Order: sequence, then structure tokens, then C-alpha cells
Amino acid sequence: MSKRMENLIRISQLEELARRDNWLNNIHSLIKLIITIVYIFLISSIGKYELTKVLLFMVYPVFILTAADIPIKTFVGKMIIPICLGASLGMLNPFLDKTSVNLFGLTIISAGWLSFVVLWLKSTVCIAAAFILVSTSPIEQIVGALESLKFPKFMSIQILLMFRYITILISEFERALTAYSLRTQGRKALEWHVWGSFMGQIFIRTAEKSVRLYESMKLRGFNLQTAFTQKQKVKSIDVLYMFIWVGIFTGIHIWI
Amino acid sequence: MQNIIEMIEVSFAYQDEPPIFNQLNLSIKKGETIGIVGSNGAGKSTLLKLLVGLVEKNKGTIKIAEKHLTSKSLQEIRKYVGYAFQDADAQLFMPTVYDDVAFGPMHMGLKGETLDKVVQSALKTVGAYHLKDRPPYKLSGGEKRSVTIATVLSMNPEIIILDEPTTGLDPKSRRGLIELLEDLSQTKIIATHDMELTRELCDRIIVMHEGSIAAQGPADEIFNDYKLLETCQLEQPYSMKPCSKCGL
Repeated sequence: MSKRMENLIRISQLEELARRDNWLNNIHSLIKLIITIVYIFLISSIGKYELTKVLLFMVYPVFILTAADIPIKTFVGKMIIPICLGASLGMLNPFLDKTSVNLFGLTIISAGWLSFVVLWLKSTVCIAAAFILVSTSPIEQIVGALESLKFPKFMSIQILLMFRYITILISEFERALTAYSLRTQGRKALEWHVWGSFMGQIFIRTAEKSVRLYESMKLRGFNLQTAFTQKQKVKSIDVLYMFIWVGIFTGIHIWI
Repeated sequence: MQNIIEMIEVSFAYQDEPPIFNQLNLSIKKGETIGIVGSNGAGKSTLLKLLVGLVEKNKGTIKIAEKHLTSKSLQEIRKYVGYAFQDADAQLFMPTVYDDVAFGPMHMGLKGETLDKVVQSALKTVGAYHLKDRPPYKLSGGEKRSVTIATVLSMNPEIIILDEPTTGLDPKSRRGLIELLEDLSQTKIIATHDMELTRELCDRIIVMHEGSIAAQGPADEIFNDYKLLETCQLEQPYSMKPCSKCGL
């Protein structure tokens, strides 16, 4: 398996992180989920030229990454593709928005460039917040927390199975791509007329495999009705943790 | 000895397809090791799936440990029956070997020290304790197979069903697996194309052909019936074939 594929498939790294025994992992998953939702909601509502606010909001991922001892290498490895995709979101802004704005009251710069940077940072910190959530809470607990928030059961089950299923999808894709490459003199990029049948085959094969995976889960006692009945208890320290962060986020949002 | 599995006049067909089984009868005694052999498409895997309710019979009765297999009793019956898939990758989906082996007992309500003991014991039985922190997809074929069996053993089943357990294994891993299976006291049902394995391990061989049981009996009796082997597209194990040079 190629290094790149292996890195992608190593979704288990996140689970390994989530199963460590440290203070952040021991905070109730529902609390972390609420903090993440509030954070993403407030970040999304920041104006397109409010760079200071976005920079201040970065305190959350930076603090957690440091305090929870999440390896920077793993973080960067998982974030690199989303960061690049985030950059593509506002790449046309510098060309479309050519008005000038004052940055920190000191320098006048192009508003397009400013909104591009703000959009990029916003998408990056939102993804970082989601990364922090899944690397500090096991997926079953996150899904359990979603259930507590009355998230529809069929959707939470989809998320759980998707998490298990994604490695199969990636490894199946790589296998098919290698077979293709071996019969096309090492050409790695798919020709356009092959895409339809190639993706169709991948879908059928992975669907079959995922059915077997689900059957295997069922045979070992997994039951949709009782899947998330083992709920954690919310402690007062968890509630305090939530109020501190929500207070900080709201403070930044209102007063800055 | 009492029957632990009974199939009485079981019929089954996949939707919109011709029947695979028509009034199939089969009984298996507690503690027996059964080999199910037959050409591709003979119905071996479907038979195994019927026993754990992965496919539902159209007619007839299936009894596991004297309990009728119905949708209501399915959860209960699956505690008795452990099933190891042909494709080990389909069975191993958790981030580490330990988590995977713990998945079943955890869903049976075990936790803490009890869970840990069960997982450790299962891993030690299959000789895979040293792999407990490894991600399953990084294991070799033989290691994956051993861990797959550990995932089944950790649920302490009375019956173990194995679908093509030696597929893709190198000779050493295959030998290790045979020795492991020899040591297990549970009732074992093994669907396989590995005739040597059935001869070595199984008390009784069931020959499947076109959805029915063509013959059943001790390995040597089955593998000496050349007409049966030819009809069912099977081959005598190498250990039973005479030497090509001396004829003995």
C-alpha cells in the first residue's frame, strides 16, 4: 500500500487518540460536541473582513492541541487536504473584490485578499474543531451524544458505519487503481471514458464488503436498537468546561 | 450424544432465483467437527449463513441447541454460534486487534476487568496476544485468520462456523490454524475446499452438490468413493493418493 493511501486509511490513528486516557478525553462527549457546534456556528457567522476575530477564535484549537498532547504530525497529516480545499473556496475573491480596507488601523490592503484569508482561516479552524472532537472522543460516544441531542437514529447509524466503512472504500479504490495501472503501462490517471464503469465497480464491490462488515457486527451482538444505550454521566466539571469555552467564544464574538 | 444443530426439511431460495435447498435435512451432534465440501456454488456458504440467520429459510425448521431459529430468537442464538467469514477483512474493522476482539463481548454487556480477561484469554488461545495493539489491516493473512477466530472465541460460543478458513494461508500458517482448531473443544463446522484439512480434522464430511447433501460420513469413506468425487467435482486428498512411482 502506498504511503499516501496508508496515511489516508489510518483513520484508526484518530481512534487511537480518542481512546487515550487523559483529562480532555475524559470530558463528556456531549459537552465536547456542544462546544464544537457552538464554535462552528459562531465562526461561520463572522464577517468576511473580521480577521482579528478569526485569529482570536484560533485560541481554541491551539490550546486543545497543546493541552491534550495531540501529535502535530498527525494533525497536519490529516488537515493538509482540507486546508488546500479550504484555500480554493475563496480563491477568486482577490480578483472580484478590489476595494481597499484598513487592517488593524495601520495598513490599507485589498479587501479581496483579506476576505480570502479570513475565509480560508474560518474553514481551517472549523475543520480543526471537528478534528479535535473525533480525536478526543470515540466515534460511538460521538454518535451517542448526537442521539442525546435527538439527532435522527438512522443518520447517526450512517455516520458510525461510514466511519468503519471508509477504510474499506479506500483500500478497494487503491486495489482497483493498481489493477488499472498495471494494464495501462503504469498510467495512474484514469481516462475519462473509464470513470463511469470504474466507479460503478468500486461501488458494487465496496457495497458487498460493507454488507459483510455489517453482518459481522450483527453476529457479534451489535444491535441498532441498543447500540448506544450505555450513556456516560455528565459531571459538574464537564459543565464548567463547557461554560468556560462557550463564555470565551461568546465574549470574543460580542466584544471584539 | 444430543444434537446441537437440527435442520428439518429446510428450503431456501434467494429472491427471484431458483431454489438452492429443497427440503434439506441435517443434524450435527455436540462436540462434532464437521467438514462441508462441494464445488463452487454447491451451497456451502449459504448453508452456513442459514445457521446464523444471515439468510432466512423459506420453509422448514432450524434448531440450534434445542431453540428454534426465528427472528425473535436470533440474538440469543448468535451467542451460541460464532461465525468466521471467509474474508477476514470483513470481520476485522476496529482500530486495534484488542478492540476488535473486545467488540463482541462488549455488546454482550461485559466491561472492565471481566472484558479484559476474556479478550486476553481469546488472544492467548490463538497465539495472537502479542498483536493486541496492532491495527488489523497491517497483519499478515495467517495473523488475520487467528485474530478472526479470537473474535469468535471471545464470545464463548458452543458452535464455531468457519467459512474457507485456510484460503490464502501459507503452509506454516495453515498448519498453525489446523493445530489451533484441533485444540478447540467446541462443535466446529468448516466449509472448505481444503480436503487435507477435512481429513485431518473432521469427524464427519458432508458433501454438498447442487443444493442437496450428496453424501456424508467419515473422511476416508467419502474420499474413497471415486464415483461420488467425480460427480461432485471433488478430488481425493494427496495424502490418500498412491505414490506415482511405487504405486503404494
